[in-house]
Amino acid sequence: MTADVNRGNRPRSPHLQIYRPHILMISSILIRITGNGSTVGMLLVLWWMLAAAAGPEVYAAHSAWLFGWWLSYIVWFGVIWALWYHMLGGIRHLIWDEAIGLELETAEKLGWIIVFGSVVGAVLTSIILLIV
Amino acid sequence: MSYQTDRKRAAGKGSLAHGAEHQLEVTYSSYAMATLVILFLVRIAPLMGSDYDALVEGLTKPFNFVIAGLFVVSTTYHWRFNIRKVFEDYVPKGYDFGGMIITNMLGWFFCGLGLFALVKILIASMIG
Repeated sequence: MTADVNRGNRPRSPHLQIYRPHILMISSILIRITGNGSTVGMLLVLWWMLAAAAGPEVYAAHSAWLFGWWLSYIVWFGVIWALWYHMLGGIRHLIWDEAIGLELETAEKLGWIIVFGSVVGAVLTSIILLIV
Repeated sequence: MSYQTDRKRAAGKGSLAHGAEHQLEVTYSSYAMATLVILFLVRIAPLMGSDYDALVEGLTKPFNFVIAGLFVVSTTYHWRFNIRKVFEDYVPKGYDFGGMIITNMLGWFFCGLGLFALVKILIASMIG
């Protein structure tokens, strides 16, 4: 038996015009947004590694761009938050894969936990990185 | 009673006829990422923004070097599989397949770039 590979004109996820916003929808959308934020982080880390590989002079010049001005602090905080959120959301997904926490009340609690947990994690990580 | 495993029974099914392959790839890389993100934030992130000598010294410590390498591999691997969902869900039919191929190749390229940079830093530290 062959699978139907014609995906046709199916509606685009996540159907924002169909369902009213709720925590599970918001947390799911944020997973995708932070996935893209983490992509920015991945590219910035690659930029940092390549600058370091190019030698001390190149590294110093690029380091000023990557870490030396006010916008870089905002971008890195965003990346750290995105990493935390995406990681906690991924862990929630792994928990759900085991058929645990699928009851509506528990699932909603998990949604709030990853929202608040990611903010706390990002703030603490940023403070620690600024101190060391 | 079927003697086939759940994975075998799912093989060839699904909208892209990939069975459980995609789900398993994302799941395995998620387990790796959950560990490596924490290790990256603890061991590698503090080196970012430091001066060149401190960075090279820190990054070429065996444990940090392995963490950085695994982070590059698993991040780009995880990215390749998840970026496909963006194309499946948001990109109109007809453009999605080409986009998936390009991002798949980009994932391998980013992985190679990161590993190349790490090895170059290691070699530079050994020579200099």
